[in-house]
Amino acid sequence: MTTGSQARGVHTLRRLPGLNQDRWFRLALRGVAVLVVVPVLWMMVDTFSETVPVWERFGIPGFVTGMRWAPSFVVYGALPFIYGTLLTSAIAMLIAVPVAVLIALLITDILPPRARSTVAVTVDLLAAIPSVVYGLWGLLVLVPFLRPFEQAVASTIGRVVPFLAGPTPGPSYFAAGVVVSIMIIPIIAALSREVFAATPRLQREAIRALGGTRWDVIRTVVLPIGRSGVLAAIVLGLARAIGETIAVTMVIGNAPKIGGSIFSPGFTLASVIANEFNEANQELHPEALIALGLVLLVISVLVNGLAILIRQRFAGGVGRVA
Amino acid sequence: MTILRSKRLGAMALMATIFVGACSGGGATTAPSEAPSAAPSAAPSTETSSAPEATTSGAAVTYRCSKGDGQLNGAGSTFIFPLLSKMGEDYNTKCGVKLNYQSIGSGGGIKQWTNNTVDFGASDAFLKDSEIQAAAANGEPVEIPVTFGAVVVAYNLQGLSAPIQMTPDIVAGIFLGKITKWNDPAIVAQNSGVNLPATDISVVHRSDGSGTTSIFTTYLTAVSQDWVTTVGAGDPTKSAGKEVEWPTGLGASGNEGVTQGINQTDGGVGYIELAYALKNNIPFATLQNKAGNFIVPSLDSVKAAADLASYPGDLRFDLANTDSPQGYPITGTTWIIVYKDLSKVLKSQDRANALVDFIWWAIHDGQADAAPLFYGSIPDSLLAQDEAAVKSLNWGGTPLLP
Amino acid sequence: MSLSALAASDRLRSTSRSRRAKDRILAICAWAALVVAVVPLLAIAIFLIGQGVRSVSTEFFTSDPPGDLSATGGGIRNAVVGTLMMTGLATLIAVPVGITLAVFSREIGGRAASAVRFVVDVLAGLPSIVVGIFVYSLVVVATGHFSGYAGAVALAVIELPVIVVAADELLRLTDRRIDEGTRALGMLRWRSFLSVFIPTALSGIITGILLAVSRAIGETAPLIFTALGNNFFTLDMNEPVQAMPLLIYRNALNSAFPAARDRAMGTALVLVIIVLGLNLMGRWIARRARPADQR
Repeated sequence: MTTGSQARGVHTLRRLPGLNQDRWFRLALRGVAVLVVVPVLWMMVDTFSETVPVWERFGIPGFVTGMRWAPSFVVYGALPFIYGTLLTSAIAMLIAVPVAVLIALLITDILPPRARSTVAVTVDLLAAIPSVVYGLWGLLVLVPFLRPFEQAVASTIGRVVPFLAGPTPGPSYFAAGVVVSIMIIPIIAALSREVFAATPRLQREAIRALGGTRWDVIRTVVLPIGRSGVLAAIVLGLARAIGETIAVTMVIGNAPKIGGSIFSPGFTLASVIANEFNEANQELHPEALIALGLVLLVISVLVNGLAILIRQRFAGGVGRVA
Repeated sequence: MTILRSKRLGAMALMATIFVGACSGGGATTAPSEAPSAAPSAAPSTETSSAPEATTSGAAVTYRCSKGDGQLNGAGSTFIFPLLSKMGEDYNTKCGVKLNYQSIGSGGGIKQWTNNTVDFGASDAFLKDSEIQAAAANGEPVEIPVTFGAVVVAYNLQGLSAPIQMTPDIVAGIFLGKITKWNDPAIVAQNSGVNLPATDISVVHRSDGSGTTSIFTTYLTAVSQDWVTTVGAGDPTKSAGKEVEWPTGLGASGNEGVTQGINQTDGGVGYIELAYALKNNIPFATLQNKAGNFIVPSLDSVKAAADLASYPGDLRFDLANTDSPQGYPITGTTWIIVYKDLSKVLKSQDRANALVDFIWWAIHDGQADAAPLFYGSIPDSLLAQDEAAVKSLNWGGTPLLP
Repeated sequence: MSLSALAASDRLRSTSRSRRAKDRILAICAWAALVVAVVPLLAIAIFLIGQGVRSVSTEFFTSDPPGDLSATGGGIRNAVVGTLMMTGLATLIAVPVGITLAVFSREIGGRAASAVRFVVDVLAGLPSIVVGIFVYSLVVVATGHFSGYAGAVALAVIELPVIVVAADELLRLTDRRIDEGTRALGMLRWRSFLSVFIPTALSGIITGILLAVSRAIGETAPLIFTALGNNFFTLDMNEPVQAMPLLIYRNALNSAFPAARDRAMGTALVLVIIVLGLNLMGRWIARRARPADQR
């Protein structure tokens, strides 16, 4: 009955080196964890410590609410970029959320089972396309395509609502918002899809048995149950939208001021850093850009943290990265 | 950021080679091509090197062709990029040294040169005092003007019968955002007979630290008090420079980006180097200069503006709003910027020799590449000073050029 | 609304026509949404093929960009090799570290694991430009120059969270009985991980790696301040290195040199094909291992 391996196993239990090996193992694991986490934290602290002169010069609220960004005058303020980030993300979310949730519903509740994975994979492919390609296509194809539409809106509603007024040079908050929305649709859709797919079959079938349509099923079962999951998906999409850099910088028009309309050119936190960092050599310019990075990081951590919280409350953990 | 000492740098390179069969290696004697007294044509002709003649400094020009590490790294101006690209290729053919040039804008070039991540910087704006101070730990700079070019006001309008004529006030008005439509009365007044549409004017400017911006805004500062007040808050050092606070318009990166921006927006207008406008068939404006003449940007008008009676000793000058009656008012200069004592910043004397040899070639035979690309070449009156500047480059006190 | 309430209500039976109409509208909206998502995909594909396919040839992969940027011909060998080198090194760093962190999470657990997981989550949410700034300060300033190594480190930071999350979730799914079995046998812990848990989770981990790589290959922002780019071919990672996304970013809008722009468009086409290929491969592996899952 006692085979060689089992004998060896029992022997291992009592053998000190075995226990020591386990302990070494755990120690090594801790070691690696420390080796990774500590430099990362150190890296962050070190980089951001460079921003101290900026806070000293302008004060934290002064910098964050400063409306003017003029390196030649050594005046730096983050507000135009915070505004740009928020506005672009808002436009992106307004477009992406309904589209993505509808697509998720389509896949889980409307499509016949055979078509589901094909459609799902196709939508997911949108997420794989690199940001630089989106920027390229966005600038060369989408922006000219949107321009007549922008002009139509600007010359009609725009006369009354300054927020939608012209002129419409093309690259703008709006263009960036549209491009980013396309980029985050697959993320929100994929996560929502998982949430909807997790709806208990029993409840679904019960509604059908009672004579309900697909819409009834969705309305009464899928959406209510999936609500917090979809919320988590939305927040993760938002996090991605906030951090999007390259595609935005190619279509937003690069104007470091608060544009009066969504059709004005602007800047986001991420895109101004990409644009100006490599040659910032005015006084305090590099430090101010890193300070913008810090602001972006804070916003990003807050949004991501929100997503994690929502995900944890929605036990079952279907949230995924990328 | 701290000033760094490393040699190998981070530059992007453009060169490699395509052969233009020309001179053989070292020892060849040639003269600087085209003095302005020779009659250059404005049309894109191929200017070939003239037959060997004595240089103005009296001695024959020899090329040592030091190899160094086989590669030189530079960064900066997008203005000069087409020309440096060609020069590097020709020099590689001649001397077997590759030129790695990174076209990231004059601001970027100065920064990398300051940080010693490149061998030389190229900028269309000479160094400010603060920049010289920032680089002081590495040494004293030497700025060598190598070429001149026109910054044109290019625009995107279809179906015009003639180029638009602009006075300085019109140019300033457009870039201040005060003139917002192409059929504004001010523009129409100067251009009777040209059918100007009611299109919105869409300004495109540089978003990166740009020598081209410096040239353009120096011009605007010189011709428009309104510009100085609005953009500089009354301070001319703030309304002119590599970066300014633009009142209007969208930003693009590099001459390339601005060209793209103009090209794809109907009614777009921006300032770019002449070569970029010509290569992309973008029309550009005829500007009224100080003497009151309307000048078409061209090789001739650039030369007229660049040919000064004398140049300052430190070779820092600007040609904007030139007095020359046939000179183009927005003419710019590009300087190659190096440290005077290369022993403090370069890894080996060989590399320093290679660098100096390249610059020496660039101000002599290299000038032959300028005209076909619509850049102006170094006038005789400047050459002696340029040569002196290159000869002042040394290795721990010992001059690098014999 | 609870089931019983629903059952009790008249609504399900009486207003069937309006409900069916709403059902219709929903279906139409959902299909429309799909079209909205798929049209850009097709448009991008057509755009890339139209602009890029004429540049792609064998020469495209075997030669470097010509020195005179306006010359046609030449290729992007330096960019392809650069991308391979940096992504390869990044993956070599990120995979062992990532799996180890996931193992750490499983094995040690508790607050330490939560802390590590938190840091990984923060890294995951970091905008890639911020990653670029960090690595710039950490590597470029310290070494004094831009380099392929810096680029690789930046990409490793990008890949790490994806791998950690994938490995972690898969290890979490390990059957408890197997775990208990290894303990009953007295297997050394590291042995159990190495010989049992990880191999079982392998296909999922491989999927995670493929997804991480496909993301890293397409990243531009972290490379702008680290690898910088280089128009020459180099195998020396201590020099600035070219990468495909960088080449696209710097050249695709190059109005001065149409030949350079064409090469960049070709690069974009090739890059997207590679990224999509990796992505699909990852999904296919995942699906083969877990047929019931939609992933």
